[in-house]
Order: sequence, then C-alpha cells, then structure tokens
Amino acid sequence: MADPPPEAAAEAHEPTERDEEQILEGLYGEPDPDGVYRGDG
Amino acid sequence: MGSAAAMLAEARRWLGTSGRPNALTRAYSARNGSGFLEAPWCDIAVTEWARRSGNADAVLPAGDRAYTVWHAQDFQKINRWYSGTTANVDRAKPGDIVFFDWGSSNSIGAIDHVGVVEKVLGGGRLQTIEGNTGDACKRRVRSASAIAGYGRPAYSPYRWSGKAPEPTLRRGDIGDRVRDLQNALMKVGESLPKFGDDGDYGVETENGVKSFQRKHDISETSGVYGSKTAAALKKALTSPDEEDEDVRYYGQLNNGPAALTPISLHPGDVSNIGFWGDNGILQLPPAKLRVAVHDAKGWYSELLEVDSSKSKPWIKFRDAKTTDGISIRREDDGTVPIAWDAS
Repeated sequence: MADPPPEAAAEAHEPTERDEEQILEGLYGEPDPDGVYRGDG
Repeated sequence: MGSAAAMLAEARRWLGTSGRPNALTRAYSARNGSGFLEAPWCDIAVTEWARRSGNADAVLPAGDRAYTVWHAQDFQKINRWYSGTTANVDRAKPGDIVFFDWGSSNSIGAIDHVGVVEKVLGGGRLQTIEGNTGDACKRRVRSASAIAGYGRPAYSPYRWSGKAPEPTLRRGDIGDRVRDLQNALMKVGESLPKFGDDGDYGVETENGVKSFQRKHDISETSGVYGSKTAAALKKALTSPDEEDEDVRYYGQLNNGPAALTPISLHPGDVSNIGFWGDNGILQLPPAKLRVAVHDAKGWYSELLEVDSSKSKPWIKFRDAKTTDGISIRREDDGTVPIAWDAS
C-alpha cells in the first residue's frame, strides 16, 4: 500500500495568474461566497 | 463508455467540495487505506472523477493514484505525456490531465499538484478544475510557467448514432445520452453555439430543449427532455427532409492561436467535412483553418475561411474509403468558436 502524498506547495492553493478572477468571472459569472465559480459558462 | 465530456461533467459536479475528509477521500480510502482520508487530495479527486465517469482506463493507466509524480510517469510510460512548453500548452485539450511544477522546471519529479483541463485559453494558459486548491475544488487559471506537462487520456471516441436518446433527461445530467440529445437538437436546427455536444445538460441545452418544445407545441415540463419531447424529436429526425441513415461525426474545434484538433475516423464512414462559425454573432473577422486529411495515399490539406455570412465550407475527401484522420489547425487567433460536421 502506497503512502499518502506530501502536501503541495503554497502555489497550489492560490491563484497564480493575476487576472484569474477577471477571466473566471468572464467565463462563469460571479463566484459564490466561498470564491467558487460554479456557472455553466 | 467514457469521454472527456463525461470526465469534465463529473469534475464540475464537485465544484465547492472542501475540507478533509470529504466524499472523495473517503471513497479513495475505502479502496486504498485510511491513511488517505486526510491526505492531500488533488490526485484523489482526479482518480474519483475518472472512476465515476467511466474513464478509469483512460485517465488512470496504472490504476488509482494519489501521488502526482507517479501519475505523470504513468502517462509518460504509455507515450501520452506532453511537457509544459507554451506551444504544448496551447495544444492541450479539454479533459487532459495537467500537472504542476511551481519552479518552472517541467520536471516530472518536481510535480506536486494536478487538475483537469476545462478550457484552453491560448497564450500558454489553461483554465482548469482542481481538487485540493485552498482545500477545495475550484476552477483556476494556470500558465505554462506553472505547468510541468499534461497527460492525454485515451478517451473513447464518441460517435452519434443519428438517433434521439430515450427519455428522461434534465438539467444536471451528464454523459453520452446527453451528447446524443445535443446532436439531435443541432441536427433539427436548434443552436448550441458555445458548448455543442459537451455531454453536460446545462443552460444552453435546456434552452435548446425549450426552443424545440415551443416550435413543436409540446406540453411537457419546459426544458426537460421527457417522453413527449423525445417522441417529437424522433419524428423530426426521421421526417422526409431530414431522413439520413448515414453515420455522422460532430464536434467543436479547439480554440486558441495555432490550436490543433485531431479527428479520428473509421475509413468509409464519411465522405466530407464542413465547418461553421459564430464570427457574425460575436462581430469577429472570419476564421481561417488549415485542414489536413489523411488517407491511404498520405496527407493533403486545404486552407479554408469560415464566415457565418457565407455558405458553410466543405472538403470532399479524395478517397473516402481509406480516409482515417483529419488534423485541423487554427490559422488565426482562434477566438471564433467553430463547429465541424463530417458525413
């Protein structure tokens, strides 16, 4: 049985593109209160 | 049967899932041990989405994976690994499994995160769905500088049978029956310009069903593909004007500058391919494509311009009996959505 993988670097948990919010909002509309873009696109 | 569309539809269903343990880590742990209950779960998510969408063989070439390095190596071993250069990133396709290396080394050993490609944005960037990003499942935008590479699952090719699916289907449903419905709607003239036959019964498909119901005066729950709508759709598909028993292939081209769209064909199934675009609606210039066709004699190509104000451009195959593949390259900035139809 394999061991669980190590934790990912901090970048995995954050936006790494400055305009991520703008792009995702353009594609999917406003995010929910948790910052999740759930739109159908 | 699995498909990239089904993989993505499954990933979308988990948007917003957060915390550890969660339903994904519980399912994975049930097979692989309780040590994974609170483990980093980005690859656990990919594994579960693949299994739940019928794509385990394609996405998990060596079985369940939680460790991203091993998963990337699995793709490398079967020659389905593409390193994260800007050019390669622009050739990615929805459903590809994308691996991240924050040090820009493109080294598989440095990978520590993974997601699934939802859209190819061009300019070396992708829009992804990732598990365990901020300990949640979210959409992200990532660039080649953070992408070590991607694996291309050997998804099963989808072919529409030419028939309407059995009812009932409604918003939120996913899979090849939804793709059958979407192809049937497009065949009878409904417009699904943005997502086409993506296998996900979203707003666009719901609106297509509503439009069809209005035109055919169907008294059934609006936007739901029920028995009355199915009967009318079957009738519309087999009306004298539309009768056609031939196999048809449909799809949409990848977007982005120089984006490539490979299409596999069964020799003899179809004899031509046509294209149409949305440049008029979007007030964009006509799209330009280089279409290369492969048959027993080798490759030949044509440059086509797709303009929604003009008739749909077609290529008639020189040898339909041996034509087995097409490769289409965007020769413009790749922003105009283009659909294709081979029959």
